Amino acid sequence: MIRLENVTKFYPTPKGRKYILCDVNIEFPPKCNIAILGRNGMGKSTLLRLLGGIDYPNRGHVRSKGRISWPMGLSGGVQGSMSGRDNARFVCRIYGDSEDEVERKIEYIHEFTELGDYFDMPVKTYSSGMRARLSFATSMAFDFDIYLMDEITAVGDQRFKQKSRAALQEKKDKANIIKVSHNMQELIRDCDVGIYLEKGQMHLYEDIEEAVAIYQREQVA
Amino acid sequence: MPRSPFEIQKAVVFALFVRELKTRFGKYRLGYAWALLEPMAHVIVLSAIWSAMGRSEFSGIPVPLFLATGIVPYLFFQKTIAKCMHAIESNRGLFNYRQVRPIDPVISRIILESIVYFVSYLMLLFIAGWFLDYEVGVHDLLGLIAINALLYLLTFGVGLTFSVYGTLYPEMMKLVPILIFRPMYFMSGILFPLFVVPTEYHHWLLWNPLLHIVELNHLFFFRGFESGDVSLLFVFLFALASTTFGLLSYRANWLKMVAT
Repeated sequence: MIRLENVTKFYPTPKGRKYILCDVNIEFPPKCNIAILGRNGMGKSTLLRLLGGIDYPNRGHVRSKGRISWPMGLSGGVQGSMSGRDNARFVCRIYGDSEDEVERKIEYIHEFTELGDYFDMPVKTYSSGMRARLSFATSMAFDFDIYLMDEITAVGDQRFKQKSRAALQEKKDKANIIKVSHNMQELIRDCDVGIYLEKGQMHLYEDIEEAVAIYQREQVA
Repeated sequence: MPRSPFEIQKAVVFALFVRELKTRFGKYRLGYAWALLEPMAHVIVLSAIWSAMGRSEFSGIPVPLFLATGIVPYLFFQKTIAKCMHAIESNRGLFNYRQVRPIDPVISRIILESIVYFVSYLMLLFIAGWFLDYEVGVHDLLGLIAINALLYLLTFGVGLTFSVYGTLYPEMMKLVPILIFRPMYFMSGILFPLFVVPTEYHHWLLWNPLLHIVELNHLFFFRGFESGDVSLLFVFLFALASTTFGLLSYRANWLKMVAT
């Protein structure tokens, strides 16, 4: 369950406040995969951060129940000077796993990422695709109710994309995703409903195809 | 089963602590030996200066031993504050996980520094007693434990305060070393004991809690050490006040440090 109550979020800029969300009230439909659409700078990533509990609205509340993943994106969440292994270990530890459990998950993550020797090298030597693999694989080691994905599927090779889709599919009866992407085919394939973000408001469309159609019409206009 | 906030914080601080262990001396080849070599370098240089000026003891205490028992607590305080100021900024990427709050890297750094301080203090005394044949006997062990416990508390309070304001106002990171650490090095009873300063200046110097801490370290350590009007109560109250202020500052500002 995720509900936004009178949520207002803005960024202070030298030219005044830049509003991302203006007094938004919305309840995310349960048990379905949600696509978030909107042009650049409309606050899609900020919305994911609010949902993930790592950023806070200026007014209002974000209420949620269930285990929600961290926003899986291309930046943040890793310390470049440390190896992929140590970064993954860190995540397992903050989720309170015992040391045995940590090592078991590390095995799984190492195998899933297919990073090989790179797993023990500093993350700053990774390509963006490799970073995405690490972030995605780490989150797959946990059982979240909702996975937040911020453009993470945009990178990575075909093989890894298929692999991650299969892993998500396996979790599908228990878990759902909330996804930000600019790849419309992908959103139509993976999501059931769409949320269109525009000028501080959120519009919910029960049918993902409708949301995509509206987004694309706005793009042309 | 949801975890309690305390369990979550414990797990986070532990995870951060393990990272810090690996990276603390990352840049330096000497690694943890540096924790020992740095105070030793201070002691060697300063003893050389004192002996060039013809001083070999302060009220019966050999100068190197006097210097060591002051330099080590002082360096702990100074280094830990400096590390706290950068703790939040350098772990910003980890706030990507909702469990990690800005205070957590501050706490884990203080814990690590405290351990490093404790071990290097013991080892330095061991070196002085075993290899250099100084008579290293603690005069009042309970007092020594008490004053160092208060030093930990003071460091936590001041460290937390500076981590909050250093993150909100990054200018502070440049100013604090020049405006606070530099003068304190000369005025905290490390280079020379308080009793060599004329008494009419004492009431000015004694506002500095670190002077109390260093002097009390000497008093509890050496029998017959002379000091001025130093007080354990003053250190206690100062430590309590700074911890309260640090926690309040954090409470009032933590959202600003996380939210973009």
